Amino acid sequence: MNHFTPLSALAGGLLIGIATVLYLALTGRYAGLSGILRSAAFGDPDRTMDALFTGGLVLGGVLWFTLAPHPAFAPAATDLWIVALGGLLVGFGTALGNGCTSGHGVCGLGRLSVRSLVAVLSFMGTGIATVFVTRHLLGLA
Amino acid sequence: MMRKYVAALACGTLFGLGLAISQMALPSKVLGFLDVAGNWDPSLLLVLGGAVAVTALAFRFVLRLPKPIFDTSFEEPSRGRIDARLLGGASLFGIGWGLGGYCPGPGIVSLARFAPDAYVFVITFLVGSFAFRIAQRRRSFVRARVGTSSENALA
Repeated sequence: MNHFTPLSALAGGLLIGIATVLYLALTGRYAGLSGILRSAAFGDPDRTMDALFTGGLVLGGVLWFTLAPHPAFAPAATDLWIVALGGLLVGFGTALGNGCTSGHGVCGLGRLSVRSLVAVLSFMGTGIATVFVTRHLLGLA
Repeated sequence: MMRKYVAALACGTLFGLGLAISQMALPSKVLGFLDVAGNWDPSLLLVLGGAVAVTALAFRFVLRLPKPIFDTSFEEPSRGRIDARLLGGASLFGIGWGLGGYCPGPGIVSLARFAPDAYVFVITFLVGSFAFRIAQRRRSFVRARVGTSSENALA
């Protein structure tokens, strides 16, 4: 299942970039999804914008998964309790580090931010290390 | 006022479409990229590369606008130092990402394909976020009462 899919990867990536640029140009806001999701859920000031953006994310998924001949039902890559632990760490870590793959990756690198580059290298590094441990040392997946 | 709300919904939809098309909403694809020692799948590099190519090229022009098209001012980008919080936070995020193969965007988009792991991820993401907020509030509470170590040293 891990075969390289360059065309869909590039097409999706370009679309993500365009959406991010449009969002900044039209509303002046950065599409950093961890912050947007938190704000929408916890009722931060200006949550309306974030709630609408989040709703849009779901809508985008609905459009693709219903229209495209794509296996919508893919089994989880790891056991649900591992996913749960992952979610806790992503929630805490993105709050502490102030961003995720869209915030630091797409927006931060787009702004040529050294701080975001450091963040991206950090989470890529620990992400790779974690998968190495779980798959090749512990044999969990 | 209304137009910026339509823009939020539209841009969110476009972003979600992009995530879905790129297949980054499938944890197995993401983990395939992080699994450098295994059957390595570089797709994520192209997704991020494609997105950053667009933002790196276009941001500078957008930020030259006197104001965004449907609002009054540009948001202040998050600033700060490269410190323990940044490194610690990013590292923890990476571990969580490597465990479940989800980060916030793909998690939300995957709700649309009724994936049980996506629902588990989103709920625990919010719990983890909430835990951080509580911890932060406790810290500033203690600081206000007890003072920082430098304040106490002066007393």
